[in-house]
Amino acid sequence: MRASVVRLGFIPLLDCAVLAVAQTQGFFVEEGLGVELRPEPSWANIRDKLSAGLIDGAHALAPLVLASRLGLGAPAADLIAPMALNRGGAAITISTALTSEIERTAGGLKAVAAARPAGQPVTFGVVFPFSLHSHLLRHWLCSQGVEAGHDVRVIVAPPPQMAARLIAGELDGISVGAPWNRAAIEAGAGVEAATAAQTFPRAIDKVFAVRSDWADTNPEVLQALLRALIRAARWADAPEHREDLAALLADPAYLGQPQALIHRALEGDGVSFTAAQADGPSARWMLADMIDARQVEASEAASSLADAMMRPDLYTQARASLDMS
Amino acid sequence: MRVLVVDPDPARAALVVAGLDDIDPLEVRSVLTFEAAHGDIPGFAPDVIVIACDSPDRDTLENLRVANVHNPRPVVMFVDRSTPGLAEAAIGAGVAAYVVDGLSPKRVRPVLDVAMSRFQVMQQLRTDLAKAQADLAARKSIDRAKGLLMRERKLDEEAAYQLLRKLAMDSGRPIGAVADDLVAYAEVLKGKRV
Repeated sequence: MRASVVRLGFIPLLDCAVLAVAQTQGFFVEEGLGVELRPEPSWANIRDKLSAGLIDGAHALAPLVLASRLGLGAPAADLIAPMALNRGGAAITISTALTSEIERTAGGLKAVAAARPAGQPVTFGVVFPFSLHSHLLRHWLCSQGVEAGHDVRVIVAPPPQMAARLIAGELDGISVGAPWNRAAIEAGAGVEAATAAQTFPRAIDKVFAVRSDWADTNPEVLQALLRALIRAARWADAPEHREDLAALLADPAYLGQPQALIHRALEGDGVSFTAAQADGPSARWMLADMIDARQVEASEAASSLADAMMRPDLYTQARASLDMS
Repeated sequence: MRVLVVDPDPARAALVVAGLDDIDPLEVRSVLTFEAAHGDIPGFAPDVIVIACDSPDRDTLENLRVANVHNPRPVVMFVDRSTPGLAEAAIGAGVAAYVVDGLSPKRVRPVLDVAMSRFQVMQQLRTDLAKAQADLAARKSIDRAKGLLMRERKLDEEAAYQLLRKLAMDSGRPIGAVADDLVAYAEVLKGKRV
């Protein structure tokens, strides 16, 4: 196997746990891998560095990988997702002020939004245009009879800013991953409106992404990475490791947030690291949502690109070699 | 052509802005955060946004591709397809550029080139500075260790230095690190530490 260092990127979120565990609990080392795990400030950076070959693999929003394959927002890149890193964790929190406004108003959110003066629309924050969070928000707004971008404004902001901006009253609602909803709710700034765990219980949230050509030229390294990540996911889902997991994620190298908050998020936010690791059909479902949101037009080519995104074959191979050992 | 430079590092932004002076006609503004652009310089509608990749605002900018009432002109990530490897080089240098849809690559390219070169200059300056600081710190340690050896072993300066050098070579470590250890051990022995 190649001895060179594998460079992986992540965004500081609860669901970077599998990568953090593989690094700190020695699962990468046990597979003979030297891994450099680096935080990135934005999903756009994750996408661009991965596409440009400045990193070899990354923690990524599943729909972001599909968007890259489709060439949406950036030059098309042949990224693949050999395994999912988590299910659950994404949720919508609306401010306590907006909650009471909705309760007071006949006609709900739609009427509240319509009554706002021009230039001060009801504003929601979401983490990225291509994300389960964005899908969840559109779905929830639709259930309230409200159209995103028409009745209410939707802006993109980095996850760590979301809770702070809801608390400051700059945003009326947020759709973000763990632990940021809990941070806002525990600060008394908001109320939970919907969770991905309940609304889309089978949907995958983040995936482990690599370039297809990198996977082809480094098959052994990729298999070793996947074996380490599968073992790390099992470790991370074990209830007896929850306290240790909260402690390691609380480290400034990862989330830099209070350990108690992370622990409560692990206990209560419906995140699973082992579920849906090789959920092939998910990409078709994501594509359908993108078409629905008018981010892309339906086509045979788009369907084929979606079908080849998840790579359950690579996952199954790694899993089988683990089960044999 | 109006250019907005978004960079959390004001020194680096200043370097880029100064570099863009030669490109004409051009109006340049710089802000620390993209959010600040709305408050600090309302009404400045940039044709090109040059953003540092270490800015957390990149994802906010990405979303502006979706044109809306607040920004009627769609913004796209700048990729000059006539130059293979350009996008990779820019990301490698730590710069991304977004342009209003329809702007000619010929007009944007010089802006990106300036930004890339200035980012690289800044990176080199930072690397040089870090190295100079490390060298200075090592020199101080070596001087203290030499002084220690001269006093304790009654050596002259040259002999003290040669002894340090031999210790470093025998242990395969930098002379500054060996000097640090020697000074630290001496302080422990004298009861100044632990």
